Amino acid sequence: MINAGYASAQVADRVRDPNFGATSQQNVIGLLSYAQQVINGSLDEETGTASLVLQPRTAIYRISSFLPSAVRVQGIRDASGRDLDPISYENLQQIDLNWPVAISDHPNSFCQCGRDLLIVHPGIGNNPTTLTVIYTLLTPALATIADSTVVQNETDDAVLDLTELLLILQHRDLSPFQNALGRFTTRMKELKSELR
Amino acid sequence: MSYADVESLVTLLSNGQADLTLFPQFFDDVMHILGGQNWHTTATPITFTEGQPTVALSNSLLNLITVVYDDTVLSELSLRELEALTTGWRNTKGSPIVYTIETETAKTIAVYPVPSATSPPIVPVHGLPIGEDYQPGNGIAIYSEYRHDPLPYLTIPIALLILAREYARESDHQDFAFGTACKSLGDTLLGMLR
Repeated sequence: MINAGYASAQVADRVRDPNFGATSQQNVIGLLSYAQQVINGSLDEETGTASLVLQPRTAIYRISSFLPSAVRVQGIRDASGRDLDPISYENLQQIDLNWPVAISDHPNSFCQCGRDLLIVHPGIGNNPTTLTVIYTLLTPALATIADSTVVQNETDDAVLDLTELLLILQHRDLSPFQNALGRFTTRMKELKSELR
Repeated sequence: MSYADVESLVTLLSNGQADLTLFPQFFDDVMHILGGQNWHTTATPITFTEGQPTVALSNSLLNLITVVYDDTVLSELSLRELEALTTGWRNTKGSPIVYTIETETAKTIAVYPVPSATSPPIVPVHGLPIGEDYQPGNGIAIYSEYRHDPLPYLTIPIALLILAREYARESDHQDFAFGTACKSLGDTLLGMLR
């Protein structure tokens, strides 16, 4: 977690633009904001939870409509605390060719089809069911110098790395680009292996 | 907002050099490439007509993933496999069990056997045409689609892939090194997000 004012100053220093002459501080904060969304979307580090009220006889849910703050669904729990089994979309087709209309008293498993469809299997009848969805958080936008990132401290470095790469591109100073890209990808690999 | 966000980011990273009259074309181009990676997936009902093997799909379709008829997922066969199965497949009526993609650009599929009944209308009482309002005898198409507003976390990769195209084209600001760097970072980020 790092303050956007401090983070923008740090990254501006890295690209030798400490007074924000080439890129305004507001624009740097905007880039930090986008960068944080990509980094957390990749690392699945910060999570959120939301209630999902199952619709009768419905297996397919659009994530961007039902869970607008979600990047990826990590887990689903029912009211009794039971975790639904995560399965792949390919497995779902093998388990049940009638999955789009299958109905039971309670759902057993879930999967994602692509990045924007959540499938809860089987669907339920008319008994109201609410599930708790745990998902990778679409990090909130950074808008002012007082806003803070939400990722862990060690992950902030990756956010700064990516913002630095974008500023290198914007400044057309391509000589440090390959080194900065290598540093960024190495850091992301390390962070991913630490989180596993 | 994402379309506008991508446009603003392209303007910022190009220092205003990017030709915004070409932006929609490059945006479409990138969205079509992303279609094959199933980022923007959706599901919509489809209707079948008695005696009609072809079924029209949504105009926004980029990559067809699954087709359902009534309550069952259909298998996909190539046209050649279907011809090998039975040469008179276009004249066989029944409940569809397989589908084939006739032509990609037409966004139509053909089903075998040819439907022996027309799909009943779906009355959207609950606003859930593929859920509570779904009527047996209809179908569901699951596919990745073209979206004007992409998922927000794709803003940076899409902007970078648009910049790669902008700087590869012949212009007074053509810059292959910059375009290649943009493509390299854009592809890297898409790979990380996948």
